[in-house]
Amino acid sequence: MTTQKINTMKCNNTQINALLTAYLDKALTPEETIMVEAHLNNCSACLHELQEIRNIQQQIEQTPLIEPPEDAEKRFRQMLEKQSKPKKRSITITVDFSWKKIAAAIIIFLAGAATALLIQPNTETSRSSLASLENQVSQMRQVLMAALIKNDSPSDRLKAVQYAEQISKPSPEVTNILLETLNHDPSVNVRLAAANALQEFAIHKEVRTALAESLQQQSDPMLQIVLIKMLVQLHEQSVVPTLQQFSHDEETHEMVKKEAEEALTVLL
Amino acid sequence: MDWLSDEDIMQEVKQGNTDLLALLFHRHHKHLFNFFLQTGVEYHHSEDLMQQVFYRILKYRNSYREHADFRKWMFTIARNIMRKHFETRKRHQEQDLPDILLNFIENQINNSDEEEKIKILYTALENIPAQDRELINLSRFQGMKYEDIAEITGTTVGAIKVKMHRAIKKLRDHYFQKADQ
Repeated sequence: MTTQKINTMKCNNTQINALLTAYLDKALTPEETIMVEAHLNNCSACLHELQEIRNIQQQIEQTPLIEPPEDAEKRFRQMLEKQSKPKKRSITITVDFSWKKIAAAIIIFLAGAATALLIQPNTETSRSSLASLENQVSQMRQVLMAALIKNDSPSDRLKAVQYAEQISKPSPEVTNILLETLNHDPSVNVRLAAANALQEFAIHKEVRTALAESLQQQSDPMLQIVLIKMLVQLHEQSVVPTLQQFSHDEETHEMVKKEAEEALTVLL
Repeated sequence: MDWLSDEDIMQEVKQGNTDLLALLFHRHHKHLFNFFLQTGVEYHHSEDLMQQVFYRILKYRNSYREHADFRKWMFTIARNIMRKHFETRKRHQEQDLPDILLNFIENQINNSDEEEKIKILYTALENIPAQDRELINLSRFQGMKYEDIAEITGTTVGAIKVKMHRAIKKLRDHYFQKADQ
């Protein structure tokens, strides 16, 4: 029955008929639209067809989408993590060798220095040589730290940060490496260690300002809280705008917000 | 991050902030998944292809042109990957729709009248060629403009107008044939 009905109502103007779907989708040029509308006034077959297309399109719009597997996003994130790792490894292979050499050099140097001290323990120069030894160890630590910090393994980078803490008179270079680590290291633990190490050097105004600036960049709530606590302790006023921002921003973690608001009452 | 456009995020990804691609995945994976399902890719393969699309976006992030429409790019890649998939499986033209489309309806929709209509729609969709399902999906389910569809499928807007009508016509014939019975 249906086929007969369609046959009797067939429209012969195939050119216009072919534009009906596009007409409903509002994808026609103004000229085409005028043509189709004029045709629709006289062609009941096309009018009927238009109604059917509209029905089926409505049906499609009411059809719900199917949920993808729940862990699809997790799987994608895991792939992303894997992808971002191998690159670093290839860069650090050379560093890997060099820091071992440096470590060996330090051991040999320390052994040699110790023997030298043992051989002549009571000379007048002992005091000054001890000082110079300390100085040289400090320098060695700096070199070792600079090499280790570039390593792929977070535990090696942690070691590097710990070396930095032991350096008695850190060069601006060490401070810069630590700041760089604090702002850009992928591991939160290493960033935290860097923050702690920097606290030791906070007698310098530049370090305090840099810490305050770093707070703006950090996204990890734990690190944000540690930095806020630290800066409040140092009474660093330049952090106030950042704290105000935190307390107004809806995206801020609740704990951080609380910490920031408390800090503001102390600093202002 | 919701205020950022797809294109802004993709630009960041291109500049090395690859973690942000997870955001674009979150926004689009459901639609992409349904694009594959409704064109005739099985459930598990649909997930696999969806992951492949985003893996490729990650891999070729450097080739992303600044401000280029992200969805258009994504569906162009999706279409290429799907075509390869069909070729290797030697299943053209007459793919069955995945069972989940029909089973899902039975489980999810309580209104049996509505359920019946959706079932008829999917059965009709199953009876038309994959290329036509693809066009209908891009236009109706994904809401893409004819200009974009023309670019994704490598043809002109004029051709799309006619092709779209033919695809809908085939779907309509099957749909109303069933509905009238």
